[in-house]
Amino acid sequence: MQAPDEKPEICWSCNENEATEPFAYPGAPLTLVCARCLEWLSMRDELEHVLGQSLELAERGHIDEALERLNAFLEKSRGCDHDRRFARRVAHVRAMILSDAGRYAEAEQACKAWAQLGFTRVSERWEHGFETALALDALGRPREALAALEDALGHRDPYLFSVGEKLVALVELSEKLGQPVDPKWQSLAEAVAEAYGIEMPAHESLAERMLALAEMTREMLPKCARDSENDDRTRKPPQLDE
Amino acid sequence: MATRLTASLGLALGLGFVFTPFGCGSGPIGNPRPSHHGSGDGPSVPAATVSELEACAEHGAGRLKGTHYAIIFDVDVMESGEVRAAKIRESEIGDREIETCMEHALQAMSLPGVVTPLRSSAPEGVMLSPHARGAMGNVVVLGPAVSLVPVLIVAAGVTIIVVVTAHAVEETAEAIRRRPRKVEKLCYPLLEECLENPWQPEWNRRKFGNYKQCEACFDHCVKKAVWPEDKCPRPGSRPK
Repeated sequence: MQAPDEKPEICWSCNENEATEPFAYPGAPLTLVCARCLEWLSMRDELEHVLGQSLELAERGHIDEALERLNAFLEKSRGCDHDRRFARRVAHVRAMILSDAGRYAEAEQACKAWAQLGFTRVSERWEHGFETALALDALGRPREALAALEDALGHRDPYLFSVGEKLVALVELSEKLGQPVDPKWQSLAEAVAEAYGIEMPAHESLAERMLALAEMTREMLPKCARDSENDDRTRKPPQLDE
Repeated sequence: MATRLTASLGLALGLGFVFTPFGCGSGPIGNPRPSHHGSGDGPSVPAATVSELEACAEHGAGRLKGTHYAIIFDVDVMESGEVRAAKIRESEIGDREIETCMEHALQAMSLPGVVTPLRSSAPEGVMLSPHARGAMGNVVVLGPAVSLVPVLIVAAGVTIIVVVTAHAVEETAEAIRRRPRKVEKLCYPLLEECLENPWQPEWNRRKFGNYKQCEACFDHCVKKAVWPEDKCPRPGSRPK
C-alpha cells in the first residue's frame, strides 16, 4: 500500500497519469500503467493478432471472413484509437488483402479510404502509393498508377524499407506506358545505394540500374536498421526520472 | 459464478487433477509440496509451471474475497512443444495481476509430445473437443484440442482450479513461407518504431542491455510472425 507521503507511480507508457494497473509484455516483468494506457496497450496487442489472423484467413481464400475480422477490430478499437494509428494499419492490410484477391476495384476504394485517414510517416505514403498503383494498373489504368506511385515516392522515406518492389513497379509502369523512367528518379536510386551501403550498379539506363538495385537489396535491410551499425555502447541511455 | 465453478469442478473431478495445497495447508518449508496426479491420466501442466501458478496465487490470494475460483486458459502449442500463446478464455478470479501472472507462466511452459499425436489419433484418456481447422493469430489450428489435467491450487484459504486446453498449431514458418512479403510488411512498421525508440526500458536493461537489437527482433518477427516484445518492448502510448 502506498504511504501517504509517497509519490504516486507515473505510468511509463504515457508519462502522464498515475500507474494503477498491472501490465507486462510476454516474458517481461510486471509493470504498472494507467487504466487508459492499459486499454490502449491491450488493443495494440490485439491489433497485431488480428492482422496476422486476417492475412492467414485471406491466404486460405476466406477473404470476406478476413475483412470481417478487420472490421470487427476497428469497431472495437474506435474508442481508444485516438490518433487513428490502428485504423491506418488495418487500412493497409485491407488494401493488400483485396489486391491479392484480385478485387482491384475494392482495393482502389480501400486505398482511397486509407488516404482519408492521413499519413504520419513517409513509409505509410510509400505503401499507400504502391498498393494504389497495383490496383490501378490491374484495372487497366497504368498512367494513373504511375502517377500515384510517383506522388508517393516524391516524399523521401528516411528508411527505404522494401524499396525494391517500388523500384520495379516504377520501371514496369514506365515501360508499359512506353516511356523511360523519369531521370528525376536518379536521386532515388543514389539514395537507395547509399542507404544500403552498396555500389551503384554500372548499367547504362536508369531502369536497368533500378532493377539491379531491387535485386541487390531484396534480402537486405538498410544500414540504419542493422544492429551491427547501431552498436553504440558509449551513448548513455536516458534515465526514467529525466 | 457457482454454476460455472460447479461445472469446472465437475470437469476437474471427472478428469482427475494436480492437487497442490499451499500456504497454511502446505508441507513444511523445504519439503516437497504435496502434489499428486489424480486418477485421470493424460497430459498435464509441467511441475515447474504448476509451481509458478502457485506463486501467482500465493502473491494475490490475499486480495480475493471468495474461497473458490476457476480460470480457463487456451494455449497454442507447436509440434515442438513450444507454447506459442496463452490466453484466458474465462476467469472467475477478476484479479488482473493473478490472471496475467498465470498467463505468463503458461506461456513460458513447454508441452513436448502433447499435441503431435493429434495429427493421427487422439491419445487415450484425453478429452478432445472438436475444432475445425482454422486460424488462431499467426498460426494455424491443426485439429482437435487437448484438455490438460486441471490444476487445483489452494493458497491462503482460497481454492483455484486452473483448466488448460492445448490447441495444436502449425509451426509458423510454413505459413510464413506462403506469405513472406505480407508478413514483412506487418513487421516493417514495428522495426521503424524500434529504431526510433532504441533504448531498452530500465526494467529490461539487466537482461538485454541498454539497446534494443532491432534487426534481430525484425528477423524474429519475419520468421515467427510476431514481434518479440520481451526483447524489443514497443514504446507506450504518447497522448497528443
